[in-house]
Amino acid sequence: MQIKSIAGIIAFGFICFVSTTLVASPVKDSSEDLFWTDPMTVHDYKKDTDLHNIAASAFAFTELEFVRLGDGMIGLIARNNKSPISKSLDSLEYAYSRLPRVQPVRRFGQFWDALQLRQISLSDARLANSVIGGDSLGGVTPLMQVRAYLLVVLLEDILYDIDKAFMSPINWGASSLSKKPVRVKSLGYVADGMGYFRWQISAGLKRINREVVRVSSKAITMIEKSRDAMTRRKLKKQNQHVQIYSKMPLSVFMANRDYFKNKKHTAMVSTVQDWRDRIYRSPLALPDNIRQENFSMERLSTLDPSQEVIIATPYALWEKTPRALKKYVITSEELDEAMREGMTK
Amino acid sequence: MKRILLWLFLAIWFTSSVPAHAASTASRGTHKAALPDSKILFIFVDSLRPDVVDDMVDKGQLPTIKKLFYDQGLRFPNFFSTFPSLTITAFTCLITGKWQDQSGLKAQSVFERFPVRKKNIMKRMFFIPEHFPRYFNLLSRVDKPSFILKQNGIKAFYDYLGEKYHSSVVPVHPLIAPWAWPHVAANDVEHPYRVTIEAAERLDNVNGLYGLRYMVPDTRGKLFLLWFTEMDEDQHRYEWGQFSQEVRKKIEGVDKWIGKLHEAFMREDNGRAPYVVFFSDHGSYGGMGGIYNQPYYLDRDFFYKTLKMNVRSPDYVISHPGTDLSSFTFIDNMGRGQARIFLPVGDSNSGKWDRPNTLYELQHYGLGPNREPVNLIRELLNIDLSQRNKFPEKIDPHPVDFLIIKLSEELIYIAKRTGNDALIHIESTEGKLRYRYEPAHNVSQDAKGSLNYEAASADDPFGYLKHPHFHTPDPEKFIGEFHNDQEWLEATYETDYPDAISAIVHALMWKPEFAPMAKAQDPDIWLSATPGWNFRSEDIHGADHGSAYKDSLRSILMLSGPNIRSGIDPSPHRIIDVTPTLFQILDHSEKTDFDSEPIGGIFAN
Repeated sequence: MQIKSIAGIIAFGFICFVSTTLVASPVKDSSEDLFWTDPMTVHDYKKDTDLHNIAASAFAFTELEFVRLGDGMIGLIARNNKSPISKSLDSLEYAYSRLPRVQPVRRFGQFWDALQLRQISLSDARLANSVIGGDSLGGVTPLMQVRAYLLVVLLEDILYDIDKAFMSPINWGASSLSKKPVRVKSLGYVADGMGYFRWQISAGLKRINREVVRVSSKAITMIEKSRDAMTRRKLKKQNQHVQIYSKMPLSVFMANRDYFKNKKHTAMVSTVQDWRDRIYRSPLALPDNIRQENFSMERLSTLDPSQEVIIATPYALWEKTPRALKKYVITSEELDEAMREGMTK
Repeated sequence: MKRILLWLFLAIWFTSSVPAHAASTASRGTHKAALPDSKILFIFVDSLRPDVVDDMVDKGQLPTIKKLFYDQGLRFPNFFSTFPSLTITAFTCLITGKWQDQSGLKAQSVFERFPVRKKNIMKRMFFIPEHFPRYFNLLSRVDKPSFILKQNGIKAFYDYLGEKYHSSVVPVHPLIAPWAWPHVAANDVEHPYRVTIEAAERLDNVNGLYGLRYMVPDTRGKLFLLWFTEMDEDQHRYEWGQFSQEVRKKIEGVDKWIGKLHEAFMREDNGRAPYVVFFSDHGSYGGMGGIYNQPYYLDRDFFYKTLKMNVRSPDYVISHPGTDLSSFTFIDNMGRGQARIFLPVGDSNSGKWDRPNTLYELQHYGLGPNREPVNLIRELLNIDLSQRNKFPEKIDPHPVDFLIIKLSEELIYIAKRTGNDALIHIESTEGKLRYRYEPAHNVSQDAKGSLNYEAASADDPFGYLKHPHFHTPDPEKFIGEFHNDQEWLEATYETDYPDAISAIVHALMWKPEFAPMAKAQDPDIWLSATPGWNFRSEDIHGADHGSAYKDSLRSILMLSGPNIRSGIDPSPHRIIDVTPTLFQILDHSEKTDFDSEPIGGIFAN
């Protein structure tokens, strides 16, 4: 649970600058439009209702600062937008920024900054609640990790300060003697070691965060995929009668004819000339009126096998034919062109 | 005694920060190098054009930029991006200091025909299959570019500098977003329930705020890199591109952020100014005088409708119902000013993805059993949009400016509609590449692979031979010989296609260790868009980048800071020159592996 909390917070950092993977509205009458074919997906980062966005937003709420919430409340009550808490804190920060930057002032500022008091948010409250209540629903949010990180940095800096102050007579003397800057450390080595471990641990934590974000994102994608499958099934059923046209040598068709025998759906197979004569010239016999008698095996088997045939099948039937036949698909414009070609000849 | 020691300690502690400031003040003007222990504030504005900045500075719209880089500081008016002029590609060159052929990261998407590496251990353990061909959009898979670099053994800023490198959200980083960045985003957006959408729209603000809150107080960081990208987003949808007042407001916003950040860094460092680098990864074309780029839906209108092929691209899929959906062409049109085309071998339905097509195959490309083969090269070059050209007097109606085909590891073919083609011959001597650019006509290949062409002398696709600013005393002699990257840059930087030869070669070549990737990842055809057109799938009008045209390649580099000399350095430079320069300023002593040298003469005498 704790790790999930970390992940979720970062999730919106992860998602918010990604571009869309697929356009939300597919091209009309394309396979994506009619059958929602893969990789069409309901995931669309531009939509408020996108599951990834909802997850990220939920965690964003836990990151809302009390300062902002307080200003909001005051604004609501006073019916103005003056943000008094923020402004007071801004004034304090401004006053601090005007102080001379001597080390004690700097270190105090660093300490104040490391506490991230202004950034206290609902997620901190969640942790406080889990500590007080003894439950395990809290979590070390990224900002808490930032606090820990900054406090260690502060500690290192203080060690460096002490080291610098105590070693300055030695360094001054050594530099004067050798006539080049000498920097001998004592406590500084401890600070160096702390810095090394701090960096390695923080890098490790960040990597864990990233991996958990990835896994969480994949989990959401799985949910989206099940929704995709539902949409796909629905659209396929809805558009199962869409006609698919193909043009292939008769021999190819004959070799695969068993695939076209189906009680539920009928295919219409004719030579190009037959199509021209019997179908195209007769508007009533256009694809919606496909009849079983047009599919006459006896007649086809008497024709020259190198001759081309045009096949019209509903998508539901065509989908089940072998992959090798798919390359013979022609578009309805190409069918139209083939018919007109013959008529003008 | 104890009290004396305590007071002594406190006195030293109180004053220990003063000498740094005093030293820095005293040293100004006397040193010829960067000050020790320097900080660099690196401002990266996506796609910003240098001429737009000049114009806005003239009009007084960018007071901070004027103060830092025009009243003082050093500007490089001849600074160039990579080809393709895209964010991921250019930024990767910046953070690695390496050409694309050396880093292996070549575009904003990756298309792999077949695997060239073993599956990772997790996939092997759990028998997770990988399906090929496969592709990734590197903008939406933000962790992928750094993963590729790691796989290729290439170091970047974050490897070299560790905690000394502190970036906001940037296009390439292994850890995606800094720890506190999501917190800043959540509190900066107006509606937290729309955080992912609004934070993306306010990225400049979120990054700027992040910089103020977390970079300025960082006592460990030395190189602070902030990415400002809203202007690039907007320029794509405003007809006047970067010449639109609306878009320029975003640039003014960046100027304000630079001012705030610079002041904050100064304050934090006792008045010592950081080095400031003002940088854009590439420029953009279109928008000037209201002449926007018109979209040509290359994938839908040409490949899908005309050639009846199924098409996939990083953000677009379109297939004919009933066809084999695994037969498709992949078009990477990211940036919209370029398009890389990947095709099955020989025929759109062959399903063969074991290598790129030969020139012969492209000139006789099969479209299945029911259609005649086509000469894809001529078909693409001859696309004529006269009927819908909104600017017939000013814009060429042919959206494809030129196309590039890699014929072998030593030869690249540049084809132009006019028939003024060229071949780029590549030779490698001791790992250094040199190129010869040979104008040619009637380039063809027979089925056995023999190349035929007629040498041409007067016309070339990039117009170098007739360009008044092709900097060489004898152009014909120059193109008759091999030259290295620097010589080509110096000769071509003021032409319409600056540095195009080197940029194209590095985009298509691979260093020997990466040789197996060539077959798997090289595009069959690479298009560069004609100014005034793009290969966009959305119906919006604006400016774009990606192409090899000068407006796309011209970028920004300006420096300011202690001891940096004032003025202009007119000599041409590239993105890979910036990396060693930054490391020189940082006085980074550890070993690096950059493809370039620091820019010389940046410090005042």
